[in-house]
Order: sequence, then structure tokens, then C-alpha cells
Amino acid sequence: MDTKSKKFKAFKYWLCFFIGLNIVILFIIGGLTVATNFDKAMLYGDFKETQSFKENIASKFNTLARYITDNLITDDVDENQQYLDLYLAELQDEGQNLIYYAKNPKNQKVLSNVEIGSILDAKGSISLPDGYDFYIYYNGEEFTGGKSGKPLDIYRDREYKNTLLRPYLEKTAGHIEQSEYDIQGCQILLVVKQDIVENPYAYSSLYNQRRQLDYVKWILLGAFIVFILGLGLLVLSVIKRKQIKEFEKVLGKVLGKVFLELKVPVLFMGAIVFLIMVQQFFYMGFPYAALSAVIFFWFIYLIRIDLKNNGTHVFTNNIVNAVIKSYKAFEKKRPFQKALLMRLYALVGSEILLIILSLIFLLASFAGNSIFYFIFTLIFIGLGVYLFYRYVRRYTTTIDDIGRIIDQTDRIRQGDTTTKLNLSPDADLFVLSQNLNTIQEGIAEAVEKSIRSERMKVELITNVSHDLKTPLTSIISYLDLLLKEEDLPEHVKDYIRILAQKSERLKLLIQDLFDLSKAVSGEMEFEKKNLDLGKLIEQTLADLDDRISQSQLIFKVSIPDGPVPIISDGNKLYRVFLNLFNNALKYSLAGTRVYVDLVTAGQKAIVTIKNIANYEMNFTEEEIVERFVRGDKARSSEGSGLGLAIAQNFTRACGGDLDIKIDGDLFKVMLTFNIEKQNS
Amino acid sequence: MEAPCILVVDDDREIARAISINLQNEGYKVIEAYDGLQALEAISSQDIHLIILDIMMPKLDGLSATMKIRQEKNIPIIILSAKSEDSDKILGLSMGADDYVTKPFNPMELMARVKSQIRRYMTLGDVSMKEKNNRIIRTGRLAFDTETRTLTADGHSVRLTATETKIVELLMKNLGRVFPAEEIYERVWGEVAYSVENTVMVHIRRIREKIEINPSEPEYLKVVWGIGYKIEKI
Repeated sequence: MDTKSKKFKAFKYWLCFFIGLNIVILFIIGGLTVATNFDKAMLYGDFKETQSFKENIASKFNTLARYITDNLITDDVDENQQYLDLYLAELQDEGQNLIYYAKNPKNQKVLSNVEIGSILDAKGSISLPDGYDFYIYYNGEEFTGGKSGKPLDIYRDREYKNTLLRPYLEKTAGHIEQSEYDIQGCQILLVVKQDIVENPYAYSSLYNQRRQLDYVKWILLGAFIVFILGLGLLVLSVIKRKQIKEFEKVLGKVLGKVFLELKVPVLFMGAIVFLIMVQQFFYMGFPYAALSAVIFFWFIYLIRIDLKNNGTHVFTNNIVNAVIKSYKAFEKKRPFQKALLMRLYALVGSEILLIILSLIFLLASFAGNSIFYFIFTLIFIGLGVYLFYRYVRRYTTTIDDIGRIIDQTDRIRQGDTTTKLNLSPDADLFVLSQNLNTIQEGIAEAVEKSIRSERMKVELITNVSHDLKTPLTSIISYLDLLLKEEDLPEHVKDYIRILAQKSERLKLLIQDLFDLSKAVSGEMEFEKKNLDLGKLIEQTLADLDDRISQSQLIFKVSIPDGPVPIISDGNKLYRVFLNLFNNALKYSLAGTRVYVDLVTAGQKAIVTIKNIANYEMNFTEEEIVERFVRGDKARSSEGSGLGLAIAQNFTRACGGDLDIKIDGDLFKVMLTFNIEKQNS
Repeated sequence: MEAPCILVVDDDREIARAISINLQNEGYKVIEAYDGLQALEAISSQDIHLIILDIMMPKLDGLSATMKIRQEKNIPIIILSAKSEDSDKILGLSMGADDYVTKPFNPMELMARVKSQIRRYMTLGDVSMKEKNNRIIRTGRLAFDTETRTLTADGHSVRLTATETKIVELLMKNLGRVFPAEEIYERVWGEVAYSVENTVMVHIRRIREKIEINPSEPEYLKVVWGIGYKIEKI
């Protein structure tokens, strides 16, 4: 189900809730109001028992009584006649529904629409004509009546007392003397038809009243049905309250979009309505009271939904914030530096505008001596302060963000590739922070890749060197056995000796390869101790003494008298110097001097080894140590060719540095170490 | 006395065979095995005097085999491995091996080590009984008699010159201590030392040639680079 129909369904259920609750509230309030003065007779359907019928009859009686007693309705005689004519016309309009007879013996006035003799005999007993079942008769002394053949006690019937008959009833009962209602001695009779029919020639009020009675029944039934329907809807909405909540959320969203400036006046008006309602509830007519109650209820309901769904957003969603927000959206499309400048201009511009506006209103309030304008002045000043506050707040967050970005770059520089910088998405420097994060991810990826490839390389070399060693062991072992064979021809023995030499070289090469790869990858373990660099060089030279004296080279060694203490791994440094001296022995031009100098300069100990090469050095300083990686331009026939690379990597791993300089035929190696301060 | 019996264990049959031939040439009786389990089987069924054991083998590796063997027997074990790291050597020796030779090895060196181990294993019992008054200083294969001022390696006496004897005496009496060349010179020659590194080194190298199995990879008389010289305490 897609969301639209879902929303629609939610709306339908909410509508059920809305209508149902309205109906129920209205009916409850209405029912309570109606119940206090409801005419029960209307429910039984006996028209001649209803209050409206009784009032009608009483009014007719009153008309007859006034007419025959010449009682004025108003003081003006002409006007009085008009009224009387009107009332008489009303009597006549009833047609055959009503028989009336009135006679005042004092002035001999008679008013009737029948031959009274057939109905009322001289003794005063009444015989109703066919088709008539109701009468009310005043015989000059007291009232009698009959309905459906039964006598009617008009004095006992409280409902007649609430009609125009009241003065007559009380009069005859001998209470207050009032000349205008004095009908003593008069005869007044009203007879009503059993089945009231329509008068085709005029408007019969009795007929219309009876017809209304029919309607009332239907209306009541209808109202009852509507009430049940409303109750049903309400029950349904309670069952489907989840969907209603859903819609309430939508409603809340819609309400959330409405600005506070619009809500406040509505709230204000609501409060006024409430106050009026509380004060005037009993004076208002029922429909208005009920309606205002319902409206008030829904008003509270909307406020509740708004607060529940939007919280403080209700207060922050005002026109000022909306303007700031739309400005921000506008600003976001601009480059950072432009946006910042624009913001400053916008602030200054709007502040100036607000100051002018507040001045204008201030003047207006002085001129008009009106507090109304002054309120506007205050509002504009408040707005100005608020805008400034917003600007400063934004500015300080941006400064904070700059600090955080600086910290972040520092972290990245230190190699932290996991801590991410999370700026809020609408921060000025958000794009920058995102870019930094992306760069950081890139670095992390690159580092991880290179670590992985480095580890793979080391593993590969370790495995390969292990795998090379096993067959080499066999080769060396069997070559050794062959060498011991005595009855081989001399030239075969020579071949075998060459094989033995090469296998020895292969063994050396494998070991160097292995050592170098370990040093390069940082897998090698170092045992660092306090040692004397001068002594180490002397020992190494002493170790090589045989080869040096056999060579045609002269070693010029200059080492200071005192110890040159450094912290390093002696075994590894021995390898370094051994390699360097071996190189010098191998590649120096016969008869030249090899200079080995150790000098101290401040906290540095510097060893230089200089020799004159016996071949043309057609490579750069970088190339010579990277032979391991690159193709070799001058591969030698002895040694592994890795000597310098090992020397450089070992030196660096031991905490020193190794530089190579080539100047024509002069080959110069420079090693630098940190001197350790002697504690003693 | 019957020739000592040596068990050669290596999954590479060619290497095992080459070692066997070398050992047989030296007059030893040799049994070959090609994995750890076979080795254990051979040890339980035969009278073995020395084991040459590879580490990386199928079924049961050399280190585990060493541990199993050490639970029952005191036979010398020489580990033979392509693993050449110091940490590998330390691990092998601490598991109970008596010596550690890395591949590729020099057959002559291996033979020398085998002889050394066999000699010590066969004669150790009565030699240690004779030692009295702490007059003999012992480290590994070396023994120095402080009264007669003679050095023996694997029970064979080593011929040393007077200066060499003095150096050995100094270092043996202070096993493990590192002596700078100057100190050695002053105490042995009795003169003020000046630029004596070469002189001392020459003597050290000569002594090594007499006492070490492989003089270029000394086990006892070691250089501590940048400091001095010492005889290792084993």
C-alpha cells in the first residue's frame, strides 16, 4: 500500500473521529438542555395533550374572552380593533377544526361559528357533534372540559396554568381581582375536531401543529439515529486510534508549518472566546453554547497536537526564523568566502532597516501619543537584538568548527585515520569537514593497502627464502660429497669447485634478501644498547684486518680518542660497517686510499667513508641503494649486490641515517648518529 | 665399542641421504626417518645416541618431537632448520635441543657438531664426577683447568700460546663479562694500551680457530660490537 492511500485512510478514520465526537458532544449538551423542558406528550403522539395544543387553545380562549368583554389589548382603540380582527381571523382560519362560541350576557355580545343550540342546551350540558372529541367550556362560573369522552380537569392540569388561561383559572378560583380578565357570567366554548384536517382556504394553526407533531417524531427518530451513528463513529475511531494518531502526526506537521505569529492571535482569540463562554454560558442560547463548546474543544485539541508533535519547534517556527532559514538556503549555494561576506552585509543591512523602522514608530508613538506604535518600536528593537545574537552565535560556532578542523588535520597528520569529524550539516565548514573525512578515508585505505602489500611482500620473501634454502641445502651437501670424491678428473673437480662457490654465493644472497626485506618492512628485532661507535669501527676494521692488509689499499682511519657513545644494536651496525668496508675493498681502485673518519658535531656523530671507485659510476645516489628494486646497471659478480641497501636500511632502523654522495670517481658514504649523553 | 647410532630425520629424503653418507664416512651407524612419528618410532625401537632433526616436517614437527623425546630420553638433539631467526634458535634450544644448525649448512660444520655432541654424551658421566675443588671452569664444550692452566674442548686439550692462554684465562674466569680491548691488553701484556684493537683481535681470531667449530660464527668467544670481547656462559 502506498503512503498516499495510507494517509487517506488515516484521514478517513480521523474524520470519523471528528464527526462522531462532534455529534456526541452536541447531543449530550443538547440532550441535557432539551431534557429540562421536554414535552413528553410529543412522544406519545397525543396531540391534544401537547403543550403547544394547550397554548393554542388557551390563546383562542383568551381572544374570545377579550372580544366579548371588550378588553383592550392596547390603549389605542384602532390598534386594538386591528389586533382583534387579526385574532378573529385566526379563529376563523381554523375552519371546521374548531367550533367556538362566546356570549357575554352583560353586553349581549356573541361570537360563534355554529348554531349553538345543537351543542349547548339551556342547562349548560354539552353534546359534542360527530367527529369532535375535545371541548373546553366556561359556563360563567367555572371551567369544564372533555377529551375523547372523558372529563377534563383543567384546574388540575399544570400545563394549562403555564398558558394564557392562567389568569382566568386563578380568577375563578377566587384569587386576585383583575377587571380585564373578569369573564364572570360569560359563556365560552371551544370544541376541537377529532381528526384535524387541513383548511384548504386558510392557514389552520391546529392542523399545522398536529402536522409538526408528526415531524417531531421523525426528527427525534432521525436525531436518535444520528446520535447512534455518531457513537458508532466514535467507537470505530477508538478501535482505529493508531491510524488516527497517524493522521494527527500529519496534522501536527501541517500545524508545524504554520508560523507562531499566526498562532498567537488565534490563541488570543481562543482565550477570549473561552472567557466569554465561561461568563456567558447560561445566558447564551443553547445552540451557541453548544457550538462554542465544540469549537473550544477542537481548539484545545489542535493546540495539544501541535505541542505534542512539534514541541519547542512551535515557538521557533516563526517568521523571523523562517526568513533566516530561507536566507541560509540562499547562502548555501554561494561559495564559503562570499557567503560569509554576504551574511555580514545582510546583518548590517537588516540592522539599519530595523533601527530606521523603530525610530519611525518611536516618533509615531510620540506624535500620536499611542502605546500601540511603541509596541512596534519594541518589537523592532527586539528583532534587531535577536538578529545580532543569531549572527554572533553562528560566528562563534564557525570559529569553534575551525578549531575542530585544525585539531582534525593535526590528528590526520599524526596518522589517526579512524576519528571522524562530525560537523552539523548546516555548518559553514560542513563541506570542508566532509572533504577532510573523505581524504582521511583515502589515507586510511592507502595505508591499509600498503601495509597489506608490505606484509605480503615480507611473507612472500620469507617463504621463498625458506623454499630456496631446502634445495640449496641438498646442492651444497652433494657438492661437498662430490668434492670428496678423489678419482675424478681434475677439470671435473674444477667445475665442482665453481659450483660450490656459486652455491655459497647463492646462500649469501638468500640470507641478505631475507634480512633486507625484514629490515625494510620493520619486522626485524633490534637489541639496542649503549656502545662506543669508535670502538665498533675499530673492531670491524680489526675483523677485516687480513683482507685489508692483503689488498692494495691504504685505510686512513681517524677516530677521536674519547668514546663516542650511541645507543644502537651492535650486531646490526657491525653488518653495516662490514658491508661498507667490504664495498670499499671490492670497488676501490688499487693503490688508492680509503678514508674512514669519525667526527662529532654537537649531538651528532658523523662517520664518512670515502674511496675512489675502480669503475665508472654511471648511476645516481638513489639508484645505487635501490638496486634491489630496480634493474642493476653495474651488477657485480660477487656478493649479493644488496650490501648498500642493507646498510642503509639497518642504519635507519638503528636510529641513524646513511647518505651516499658520488662525485666523479669519488664514492662517499656518510652515516649520522645521535650521541647519547653519558650519565657518569 | 660399537659405533654410535645416529638418527637423521628430514622430510627431504635427499638431504637425509647426504647427511647419512657424510656420517657413514665418519664411521657412524645411521638410521633415517622422514617425519616426526617415524622418528619417535625409531627412538623407541633402537638404541640411538644422537638425533639430527628437521623442524618443518609432516605429521609431527621437529619441535613437538623434541618435546616428546625429552619426556623420556636424554639423547643429544641437533635441530636442522631453514628457520634462521634468533627467535627460532632460542625456541628450539629452550624446547630441549642441544644445538641448532641452520640450512643451508656446511657439511663439515655439521660433522664437527655431531662429533662434539657425541663425545660429550658418551663421556659426560665420568668427567663430571672427577671435577673437584671448583678448579675446572666449564662452559658448554669448553673446560678450563685453573691449576694446570689448560683448556679442553669436548675433552680434547687445546694447544694455546702463552698470550692466548692468558686471554682465555681472563675471559674464562670472568664468564659472560665483556672486556674492552684496552683492558685485555693492559691485563695480558701489562702495558699501557694505545690503538690495540688489531693486536687483540688477531689473538682472538687465533683462539677462535682453535676452540670454535665454525670460527666465523663463534659460539663461545664473541665480539660485543662497539664494546669488547667475552666468552659466553653456557
